[in-house]
Amino acid sequence: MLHQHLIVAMPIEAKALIPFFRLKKLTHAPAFEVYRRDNLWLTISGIGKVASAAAVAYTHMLAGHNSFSSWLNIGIAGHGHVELGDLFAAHKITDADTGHSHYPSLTFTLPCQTEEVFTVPKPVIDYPVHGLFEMEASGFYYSATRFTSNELVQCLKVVSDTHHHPIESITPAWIEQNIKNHLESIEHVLQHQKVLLEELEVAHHVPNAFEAIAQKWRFSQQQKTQLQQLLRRWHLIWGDTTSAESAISGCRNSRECLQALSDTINKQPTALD
Amino acid sequence: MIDTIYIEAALEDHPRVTGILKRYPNARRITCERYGEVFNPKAQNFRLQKKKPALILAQKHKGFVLPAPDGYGIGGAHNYYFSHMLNCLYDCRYCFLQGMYRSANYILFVNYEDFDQAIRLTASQHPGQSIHFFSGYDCDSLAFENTSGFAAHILPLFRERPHTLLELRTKSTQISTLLETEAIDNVVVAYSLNPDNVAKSLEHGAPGLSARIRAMLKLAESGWKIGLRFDPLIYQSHYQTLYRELFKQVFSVLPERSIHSVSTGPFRLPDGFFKKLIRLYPDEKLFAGPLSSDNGMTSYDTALEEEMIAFCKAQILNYIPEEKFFRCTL
Repeated sequence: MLHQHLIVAMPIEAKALIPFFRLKKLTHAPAFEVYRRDNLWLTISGIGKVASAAAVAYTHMLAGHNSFSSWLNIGIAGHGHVELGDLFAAHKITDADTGHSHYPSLTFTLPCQTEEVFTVPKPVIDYPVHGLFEMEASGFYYSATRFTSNELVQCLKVVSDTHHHPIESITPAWIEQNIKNHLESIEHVLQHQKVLLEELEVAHHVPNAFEAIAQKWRFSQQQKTQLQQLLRRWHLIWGDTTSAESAISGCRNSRECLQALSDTINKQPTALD
Repeated sequence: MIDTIYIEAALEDHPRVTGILKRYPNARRITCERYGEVFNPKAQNFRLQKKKPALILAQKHKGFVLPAPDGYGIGGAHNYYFSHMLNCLYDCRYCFLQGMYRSANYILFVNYEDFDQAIRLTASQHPGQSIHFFSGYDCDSLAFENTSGFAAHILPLFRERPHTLLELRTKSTQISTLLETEAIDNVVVAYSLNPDNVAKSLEHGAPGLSARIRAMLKLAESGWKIGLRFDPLIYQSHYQTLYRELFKQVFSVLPERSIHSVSTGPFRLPDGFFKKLIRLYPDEKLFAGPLSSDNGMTSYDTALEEEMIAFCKAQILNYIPEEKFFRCTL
């Protein structure tokens, strides 16, 4: 089952997203505020890269540490040279503390410009270099890429402060409205992440016969993996796995079952078209 | 085609980088310190990244010319390869690159002059002996030529060294560089070929068989020597019909005098690469076939492999003399 995750730092950022995606608060998540509807999750991490990394790890476990997940960090950031309210995706995330950089893979067309993001420990007011300044992205990215591949991890940042609009002038209402202004773009990114996830999920689909066969005998974990692989091959060759049952009818244990499936498959020529 | 270009910071003012960036004015440009920061991280999915690979412009620091693996060659006493690029514009499902690299992004090493120097040095180490250089081991030699200009750069070096031989391995129809250059006797343009249904099913993004044959013919008519690489041989129940038809199609249009060499090789991958491919493409029919592991390599079983090679060799020898035939045993 695939899961899509939104991570925001502040409740006010979540306020624009929760009604739009019709998310409901989970009552059994004490460490962070977590909202969910079906496969879409939203977690409010609190401010800072450590909080963001912890929120990703917590949500991953809460969601059942699924293999197929996407992650999207949404937040605000300062920039010295662009327009207030503009949306950017991160194409490079540099942790100002360590100097270490991450490079999210941009494998689909984004709905906005991209920019380098600098994750800093404290708010920056002089914007010393070209780029976005914020406080979560490096922790978010570091943690999320432990659980999924980097094509499925993105950061979107709305420009909240510039030289002309200092950080002190940001209000909660402004943040909520400016996140709302980009809901369509956020949805666009989620939709593209979903397409990628669905491709992986379909490719790794476990054939229907697996559960029934796995219950016939005692299979070790490694043998279960082998059984899944053999049944996938069977499905690719014959189009379904119903005929696999007859191939293993005379088997007495899991080892014989795997051998019978393997022997039958390896005798079968492959047609590519 | 390319939306994102990563550039090593030290190369930002390199004239070759400047030229390449001009070709992609709308691509986003991202500076990195070393290409490994982008190319090597663990959390990458080759399959997903292949949907929109980025270009990385980098500098290679060592290993410009390397000995070719045993079993790879077309009769040279000494065999070497070099890779100015890592990864290929095409997406051939049987390709070992998918198993070797974490990233599907293309790396182009722009310090061509360092390749020149290494080739000169290597060539000078074997005076009077046949020495073969293979390009296109880690990429397609010509597919990116319009951007890289690497073949155009390297060809004069080989024209000046007739005791060497250069093989440009390709599936590409980007042959304008070669057509605009006077043919060089010791340069072989080697085309990887498979039956049409294999090309359509497994060689995603590569020119079709007919287009490759047309490109070969144009090159042959311009005086270039052609290599034919029926490699990897892909098993299907009716493989004999398919390969017989393929050989007929190729040899009926290509004059024998233009054919430098013909080689075949089985479908073979190191076990580790094959396992990675299965994880990436569990839905790929090719990998559902009769493959098994032996001595750390995944391949068709020996009897089947030998049967296929013997059949193909016999068919090929209907068209060319045996001294032009080579078997890749990599």
